[in-house]
Amino acid sequence: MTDMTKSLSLHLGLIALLLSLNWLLPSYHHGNLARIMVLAIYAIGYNVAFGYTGLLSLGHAMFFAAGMYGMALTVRHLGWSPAPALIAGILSGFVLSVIVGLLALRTSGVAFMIVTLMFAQSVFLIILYFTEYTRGDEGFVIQQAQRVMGGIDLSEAHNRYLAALLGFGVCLMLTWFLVGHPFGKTLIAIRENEERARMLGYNVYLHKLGAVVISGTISATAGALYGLLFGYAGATFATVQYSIFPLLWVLLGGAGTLLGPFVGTLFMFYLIDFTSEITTAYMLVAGVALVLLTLFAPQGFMGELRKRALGWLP
Amino acid sequence: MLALENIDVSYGNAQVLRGFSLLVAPGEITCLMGRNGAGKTTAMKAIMGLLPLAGGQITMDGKNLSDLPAHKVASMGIGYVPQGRRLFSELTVMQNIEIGLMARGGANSAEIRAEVLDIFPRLRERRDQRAQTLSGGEQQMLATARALCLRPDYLLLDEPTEGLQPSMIASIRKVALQMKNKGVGVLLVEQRVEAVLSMADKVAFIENGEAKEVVSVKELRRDTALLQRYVGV
Repeated sequence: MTDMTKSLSLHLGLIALLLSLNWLLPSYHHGNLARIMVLAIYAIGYNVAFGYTGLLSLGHAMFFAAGMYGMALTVRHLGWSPAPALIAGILSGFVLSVIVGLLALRTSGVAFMIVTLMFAQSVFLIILYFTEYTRGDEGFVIQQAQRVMGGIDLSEAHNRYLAALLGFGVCLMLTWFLVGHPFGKTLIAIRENEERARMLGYNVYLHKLGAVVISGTISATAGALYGLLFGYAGATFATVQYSIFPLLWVLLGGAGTLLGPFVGTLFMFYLIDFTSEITTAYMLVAGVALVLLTLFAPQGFMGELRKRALGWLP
Repeated sequence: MLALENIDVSYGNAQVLRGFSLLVAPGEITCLMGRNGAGKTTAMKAIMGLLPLAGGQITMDGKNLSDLPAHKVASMGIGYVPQGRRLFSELTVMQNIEIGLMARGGANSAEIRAEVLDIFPRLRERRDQRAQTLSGGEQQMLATARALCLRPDYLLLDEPTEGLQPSMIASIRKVALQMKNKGVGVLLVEQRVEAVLSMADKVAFIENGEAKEVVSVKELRRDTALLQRYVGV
């Protein structure tokens, strides 16, 4: 079996496993997993920029929020049905990522982090400023009647789970294809040694722009899906905290690994879920766990697995 | 012909190259020699478009390279193996080579891959090993192999024998001569006199960013005073 076949089987196997869990999980974990899959899409998007291209952004919440509000505002104010609204959300993220990419990629390193953070803060402030439309901090609920797509009620638990799985599966396999494609390999080369890639004849700026756009568009897809499936859009999702989350998920799961974002999101979600039942200082416990993991598994779960046993993991 | 004509290059306020000129002919190995800080690596970086020119121009076979960004210079047929190798350390040997092949747009990849691996059979043995785990000599081979994937018309080698054992130096020398025989113009920055004398056709000296004498290796063998004057050996 070639490495490619093994990797394809593993990824399709995970999707099949998640599909079967739709009928096996108790309702509490069923709801959690739907949420985790949508958040994992966000982490997958972040991983394209950070894990595969080496672009450390502190402002990815703007893309998530662009997707969420691009979808939710068209539903709320223009009365669009979910399908075109979802596309509007994804396109919002696409356009924003082109604009941000063109400007922010004139910088690198720490300056890139700061510029992306500033852009994200601007988006957050715009959401607060136009309270009349966005309801600012409070956000707004998307009614159940507005979440019916082609006769399928997306607020119903099983439909929501399957829609989340569909989005997750598509984004996972899209990045699987991307990483195996020459474009993806070039991104890895840029991450490893930008100057060297340039000297081999690669247009580093355009490749990085491509990475930011793909990353931003996937993140926006997550935002649009989140709003649609869970029926809410709020400014919280545009805060700096929501830019840090995907970084943590990706670091924990394994930056530059395809399954890392999902594993990291799953781990972090349940770590907070379990510890919050035991103590009110759950973030302290989560923090200690993160420090330990960073010390003893610096490449994240999947990164360590790739390093120690499964060298073929993409 | 790769020609540097009266180029000026500065790092901020510090001018490193002052009206520097150099000619690299196809099918010839030209060695650039000078003391540390004389401007040898700066000249190579200027050719590659990594440093802007404050004056003068660089042409390759009549085409002006002066204002081109680095990626365009490389795609016009100049391969550069920098000092310190600069590999994609997390990638395997084959993945490093594939990145080099893809830079050409993928044309004749299988043929070039086989050609490069024939030149460096050691890399074939190490094909699935991560670049960072290779020895210094193997890393130099890989860096050179990756540059050869571009099938360059001109090849720039910056201190390729630095820190290598004699057998590895012999391999690098063999490759430089092979390239020369194929009509590739090789520009070599090198400190080891014996390596220079064994492979170069001519030597250009540089001092404080200015071009000095250009002599054939035959002349240099007869009169080693120039080495004493410009390199201190």
